[in-house]
Amino acid sequence: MEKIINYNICDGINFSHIKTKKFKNACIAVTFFVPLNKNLVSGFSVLISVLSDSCKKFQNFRSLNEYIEEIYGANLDYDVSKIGNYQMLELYISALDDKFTANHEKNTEKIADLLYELVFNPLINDKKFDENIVLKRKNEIIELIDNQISDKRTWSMIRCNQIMFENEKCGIRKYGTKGDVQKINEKNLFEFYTKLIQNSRIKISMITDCDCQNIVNKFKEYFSKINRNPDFNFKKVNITTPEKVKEVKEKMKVEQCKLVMGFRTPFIKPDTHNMSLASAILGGLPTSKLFMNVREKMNLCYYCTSMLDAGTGALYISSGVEESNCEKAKNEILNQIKLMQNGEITDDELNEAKSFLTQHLKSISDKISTLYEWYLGQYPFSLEESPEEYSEKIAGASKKDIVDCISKISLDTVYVLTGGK
Amino acid sequence: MQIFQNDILNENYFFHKHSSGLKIYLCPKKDFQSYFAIIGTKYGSINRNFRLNSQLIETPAGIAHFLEHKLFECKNGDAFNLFSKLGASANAYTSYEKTAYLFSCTDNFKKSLKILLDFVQEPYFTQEGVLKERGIIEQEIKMYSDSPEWQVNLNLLRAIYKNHPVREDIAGSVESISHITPDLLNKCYEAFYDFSNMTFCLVGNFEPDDIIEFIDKNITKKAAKTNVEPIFPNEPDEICEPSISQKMEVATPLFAIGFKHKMPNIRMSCQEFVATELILQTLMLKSGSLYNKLLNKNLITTNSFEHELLEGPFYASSTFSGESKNPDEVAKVIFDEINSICQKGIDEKQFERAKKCYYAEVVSVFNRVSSIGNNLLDLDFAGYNIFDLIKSIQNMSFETCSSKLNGQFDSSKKAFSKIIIL
Repeated sequence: MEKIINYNICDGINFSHIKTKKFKNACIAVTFFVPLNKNLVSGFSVLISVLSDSCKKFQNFRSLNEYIEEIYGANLDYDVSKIGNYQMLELYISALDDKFTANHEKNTEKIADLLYELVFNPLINDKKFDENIVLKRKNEIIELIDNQISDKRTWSMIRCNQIMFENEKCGIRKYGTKGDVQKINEKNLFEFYTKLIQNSRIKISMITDCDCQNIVNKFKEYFSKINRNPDFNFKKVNITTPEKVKEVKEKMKVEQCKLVMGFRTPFIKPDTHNMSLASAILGGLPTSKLFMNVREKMNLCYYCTSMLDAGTGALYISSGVEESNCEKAKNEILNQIKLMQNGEITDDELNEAKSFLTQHLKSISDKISTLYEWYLGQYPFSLEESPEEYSEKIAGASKKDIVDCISKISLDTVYVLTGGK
Repeated sequence: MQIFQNDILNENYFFHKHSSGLKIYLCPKKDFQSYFAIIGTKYGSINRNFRLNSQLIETPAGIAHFLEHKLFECKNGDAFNLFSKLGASANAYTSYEKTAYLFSCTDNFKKSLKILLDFVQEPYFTQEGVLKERGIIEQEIKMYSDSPEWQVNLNLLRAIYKNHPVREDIAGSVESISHITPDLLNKCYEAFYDFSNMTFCLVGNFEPDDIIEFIDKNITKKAAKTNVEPIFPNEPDEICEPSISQKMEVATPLFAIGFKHKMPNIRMSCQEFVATELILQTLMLKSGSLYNKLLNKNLITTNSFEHELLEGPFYASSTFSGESKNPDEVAKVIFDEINSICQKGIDEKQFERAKKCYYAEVVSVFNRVSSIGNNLLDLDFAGYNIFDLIKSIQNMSFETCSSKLNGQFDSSKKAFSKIIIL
């Protein structure tokens, strides 16, 4: 069983040590939370990519990676994502834990040291980043923006989210636009850096069996030299109901039509327990209503699933269908929701969904990635709920609770991506 | 029961061959709450033609995958639903050389295990079921045909191989699957789902003896007396065509480059595999000259360039793939770099670093119950095991690896596939 040890580094910075013997790898990650702002998302995206490229100690990608390979091919990566009204910018390093290296090398300390170097000693001279590195990383973010279009299933989800929350912060795309990326240069990127280090809220996570006190002390020392001023407090997304359903159809050259339906719900962390069960019954399991009816009974699609975004309360139902069956699939999805609202939920359905979710929750601690994401995702909601505690709340849900939940969802957007035949 | 152990990693697993012929691997993981079980048969999309009791059987592309879909159907319902009722997550997949059925769960694992063992022993193919499945698989095929990553690799294999069925889509085509009948599915089942052709792996918190006893009780199918002889068409040493280009709705073009290898035996040995993979890893180091040339010319980004040693029954190739604004230029840089390395040899320091990375990658398999299970199965089909693999990486010498370099990259056997913007 893992143990969570929390340390307060300074104002707005939390360090979580998840102590466990289970894994062969140790990992450390720093995550910066900033409010989603369409003028800033692109700059922050470029910045986190630049920070992962090099630092004063390893001045180019090549020398940095030579070092990473020496410490057993540690994995260094960055990620940009969204949670509710916030952009999350992560730098992540994982490596073989000390006892599995040939000479019991201090790999864990090495990755923590590397992370300080990347965050606190980036390659900045005269308040400027390196021009070539910035250019290279801008291109990379532009390519990531472009590539969101390539996977049509993901792209249709992104479009639905964007249309649904058109005038809200949580509808801002995580990397922003190509135009905004182009505006970034080595000089204004320094302003983004200063803002990130001074004003963001930060969570540092470490998963290892080794002791972390020295690492925590070092972070305290580094941050004590910085004039920290977190300029926001975490707030939840406003809960609203749509006035009318937005229907948007877009054309691309695709063989298979993608249908995404976005619903608004009032269920945002920490109040997602029953709604996550309702979503599982509707479209989360192979025995779910959508799978059994839209796929198995009517043979309309290959996939038809529902997913709750706990940060915004949005429930998305996504499906890949033949163009000519799109309307039929949409009607059947709405019909299944209506049946649930009318109380058509069997004990078996409820128990299966509970059992499925409980088992999923139990397995969270068996994987580095899910363990790390579980605790990270709670940070903006000031939650400290273990998977076991979440599971206990689910166990108590009744059929009435589920009907209450599903009765509170309202259709906001129907997005269709079609081949236009 | 045989035990295999690695003291440094503090890991072990058990092996037992059941009287039915089923090979059983059991890896106890006391700290984990999850169980992962997988049963696989050496039957994949490339097993198209075979002799069953000396009768020649020719099957359409996509039949192994179709059979995978249909095996889930039992007389008393769909096995998927049975797993789901227990809260377990079940899945199945078909690759070029195998079909596998798996589940993971934390509770009721013996009940799920029974379902898994039951449905692989009880095929139930009906005309009605076959027709229904056709519609679903057609949608799956269409989904893949919209995937540029899938297409670029498929086209590469079509460029490299003239006759080997690895050049066909695993799921077949809308046309090919229309020829599949219950009778044909039964013949394929009879030929390839005998336990002597299958391997089972379980990872989680259990007592090995208890599991062996449980499996023994639940295996009812008798060892078959059928004689099956897989037939592979003759594949020439040469490639089929040097390049294939396809237009798709993509933001950035995609490329895949491959070098065809000679396959004197059905599979590579563990040592051959490690040497070949290590050469690739050395070449692909992020600190290496190839990667940095491509990066500095803005031809790739840090997350868009990968390699794979694609190896299975009578096929093997070293491949490089990714996204680039200029796939032709990427191909030129890769070919030039490989030429230059073949002339001057690989750098020993880089080789040592690649070895560390490869070692860490394989050790990391033990982070997850599912990756342990999948690896035990894959490596059993390849003819070795994970501790052999780790040992082989540790013991691989720079000299052995260097001596293989020129054979791996024969410039007359290279092929290039790209997906360009519509």
